[in-house]
Amino acid sequence: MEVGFVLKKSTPFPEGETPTIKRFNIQQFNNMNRDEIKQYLPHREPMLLVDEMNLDENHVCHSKYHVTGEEFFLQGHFPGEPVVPGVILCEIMAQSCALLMKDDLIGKLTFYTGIDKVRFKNSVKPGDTAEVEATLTYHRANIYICSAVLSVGGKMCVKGELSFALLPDTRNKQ
Amino acid sequence: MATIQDKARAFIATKLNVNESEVTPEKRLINDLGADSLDVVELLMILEREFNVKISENDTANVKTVGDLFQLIEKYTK
Repeated sequence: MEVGFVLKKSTPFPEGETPTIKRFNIQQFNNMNRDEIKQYLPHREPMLLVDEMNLDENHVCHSKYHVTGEEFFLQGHFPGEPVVPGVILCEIMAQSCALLMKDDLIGKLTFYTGIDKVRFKNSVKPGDTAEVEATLTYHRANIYICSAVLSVGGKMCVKGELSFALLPDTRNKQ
Repeated sequence: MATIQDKARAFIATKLNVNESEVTPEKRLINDLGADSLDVVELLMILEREFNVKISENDTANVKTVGDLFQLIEKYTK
């Protein structure tokens, strides 16, 4: 079992050349709650899976999601033994990754373009707080590649590399 | 001795799962070699890492063919 996995901090961007995240005002993204997160993420209940987030000085996103036990995805998965489905754990990580795009998210919808090197190490259950560390590793045009680790109580549950495309949100233009 | 193009060709072939003989300058990455937009971005990431260069966003915006990639790598490794 891997415990205390630390995100690789290396980045292909030389110092000062992170085109997306260098615009961030870090202070603006400290201790964001669900209402503040909704200003950036297009997701809404019951699929908004981030309760709080911080962005640290290294541009690593730290977010939390508290599993209450009332979530729709626990119904039937499994009767008498509720476990958060692996795809939902990926979605929790994905939403944390999306928050790394911040201002670029405004007016856009996020779509998966790929999930790579995902490993599930431990299950997540009602009462757990899933903590995610997410880092933007590469960005070109509207494609973003991120690394993420989801842990509970310091124990790694999932890690993987996720990629996304940001596409225009046309919902209000129809 | 392998040239820069030889090395780049090998990385492109591996990433796109095609034979190196197919990776010729006129081939379009998406239309001819079966890449998608994520493949192209991942290719740029791999080439930057392997050649230890940082290609500007402006230069990558119009990459469409294998030849475009060869030219970029040669430009940045000069």
